[in-house]
Amino acid sequence: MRQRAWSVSNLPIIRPMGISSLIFLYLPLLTVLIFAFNKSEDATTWGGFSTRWFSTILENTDLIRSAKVSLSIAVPCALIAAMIAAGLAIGMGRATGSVQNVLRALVNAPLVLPEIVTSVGTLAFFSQVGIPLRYGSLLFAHVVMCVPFAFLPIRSRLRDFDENIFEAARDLGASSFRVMTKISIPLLVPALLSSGLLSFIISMDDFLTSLFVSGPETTTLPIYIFGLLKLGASPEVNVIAALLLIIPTLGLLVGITWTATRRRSNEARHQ
Amino acid sequence: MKLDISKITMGRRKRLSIIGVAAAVSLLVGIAVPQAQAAVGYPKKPVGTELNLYNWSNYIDPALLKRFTAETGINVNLGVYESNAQMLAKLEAGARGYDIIVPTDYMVQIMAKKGLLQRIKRTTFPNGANLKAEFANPYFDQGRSYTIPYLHGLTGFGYLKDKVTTNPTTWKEFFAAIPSYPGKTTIFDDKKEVIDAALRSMGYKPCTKSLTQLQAAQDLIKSIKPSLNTIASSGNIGRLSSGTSVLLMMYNGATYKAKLANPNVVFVYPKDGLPLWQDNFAIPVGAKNVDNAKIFLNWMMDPKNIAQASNWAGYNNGITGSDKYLLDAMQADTAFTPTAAQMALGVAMAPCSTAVNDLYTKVWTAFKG
Repeated sequence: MRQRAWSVSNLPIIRPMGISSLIFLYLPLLTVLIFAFNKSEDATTWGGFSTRWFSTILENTDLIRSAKVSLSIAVPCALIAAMIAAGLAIGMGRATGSVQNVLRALVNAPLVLPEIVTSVGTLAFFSQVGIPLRYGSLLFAHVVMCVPFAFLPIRSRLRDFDENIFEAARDLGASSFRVMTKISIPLLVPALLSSGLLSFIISMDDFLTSLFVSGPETTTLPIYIFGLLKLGASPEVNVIAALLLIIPTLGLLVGITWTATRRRSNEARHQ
Repeated sequence: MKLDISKITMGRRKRLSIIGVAAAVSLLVGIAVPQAQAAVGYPKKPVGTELNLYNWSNYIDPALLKRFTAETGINVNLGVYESNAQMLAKLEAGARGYDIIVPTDYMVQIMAKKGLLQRIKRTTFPNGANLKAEFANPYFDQGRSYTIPYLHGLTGFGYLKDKVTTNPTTWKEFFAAIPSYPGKTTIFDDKKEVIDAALRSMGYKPCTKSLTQLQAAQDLIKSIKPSLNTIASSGNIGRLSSGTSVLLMMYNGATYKAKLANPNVVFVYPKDGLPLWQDNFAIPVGAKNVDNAKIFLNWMMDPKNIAQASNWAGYNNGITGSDKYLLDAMQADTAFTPTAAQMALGVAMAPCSTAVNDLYTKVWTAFKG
């Protein structure tokens, strides 16, 4: 019998470690789902099964409004951050030597700076210049925060590109615009998608920046939830978290099934 | 409500760093805090239709705000903060556009000193005189020239009378009873509330400078620590009513709510004294809709309106004549409506000096660590 090559993944400890990591990751999410059906007044104490909070949540206009604000910031933020990051990444590929180093440091700086510094600084800047704390200012702050994160997947994808393809295209007489639309962008689509999703999640999750830069009309969901600690959170918080968990998961499942069936039918057609 | 630095999951150090950074940045960019505007009288009618309220989430009845809009034509936008310290940091960093804020007692004093609050000429308000005597002259705003009272509460303790049979009536008896219920008792995750209670239980005064007294307090709370199931400031309503904890530090309003779910709940106003916290409405500098803010303040001093706020949030208020609009269950329950003798035990607490606060931090760290 041939002996299998030694590999870390063959160690007997790997499977239990993997399983326990998954449990560790998903148990809190499962708890939130279960506690959305909590009968008690308190978000953290179980008081029996009930769906009452699913109906009261509809009357909690402040909660609904803050969820809407979060979404209305996160979606455009993801689009804008991904576009800016793509431009930056492509441009930086052209730059060389010290210029590239300086650019890279500038883009990465917000990743290492404490968020509290950027957020208070942004607030101080807005108030100095006289920009009121409205939707636009919050969106701006979120985009600034997301660009470095959005930049990473695009940059690493660009680095993996085979330069020969571009040379071949230019050899065949393609203009640089055509190279971009026909080659760069299609190849970049997966990276653009992942940087958009990353930005979306970071924006939805963000607490500190929103805390300082939001105005009276732009309370986001994380701020609202934190503010609930005064009187204690009701299971409505679990309900909104559960909904935010279930809706994207369903969307993802539908998307996966759709692409899978399409691929299968494509394969069938080719055969 | 008293929601102190240590109460929230975000660590105290982080919180302090927020304030520090905010202060540093505002210094750096040289923000001049505008001087509080001179008080003008009560407006004849609203100007525009907007009012921006800056408050905790879920701390004012949404139906009450809807009625305010229906009666005055003023829409209320709600901004949310998570602690007094954070609200201060944001206003100090230059955030403007909030017309009403809801600072807790000690924060009123800090903000007024920094010139962040506008004077209100309360006597020109139609409802301006509706203040209960004990709330007309608080230490943090004597004569109420910056604030009107919102809700207040007292920090005592609650227990289940079918489980705890010793009938404790003082902090001394509270701490003495804890070891008898191992794993069934809870105290707040709040440095000041816990150390103050421990000091009171031994007949000492809160904010003491005496190292021996503080050491005694530290020994006491460390000795009961093994009997605690958790150290937490929220979730205690459920803990008490479900019997997860049978004896625990509680706000009176929270205990009233727990009692609705479990009739065995008892609230105690400890005879050795207890802290009274008060939240207030104030108009910060930079408010855009000052006249609407004044209309709101006056409207909230109407006994019927403030009573609705109390009925919804579960905490009493400082407006005369509001008692008769409170829910019957509230009027009948001394956990919600203390007797005059019980109310007299409550003490409005100014913060300790910085030096004493540092000692408190040492005690608290020794206890928690």
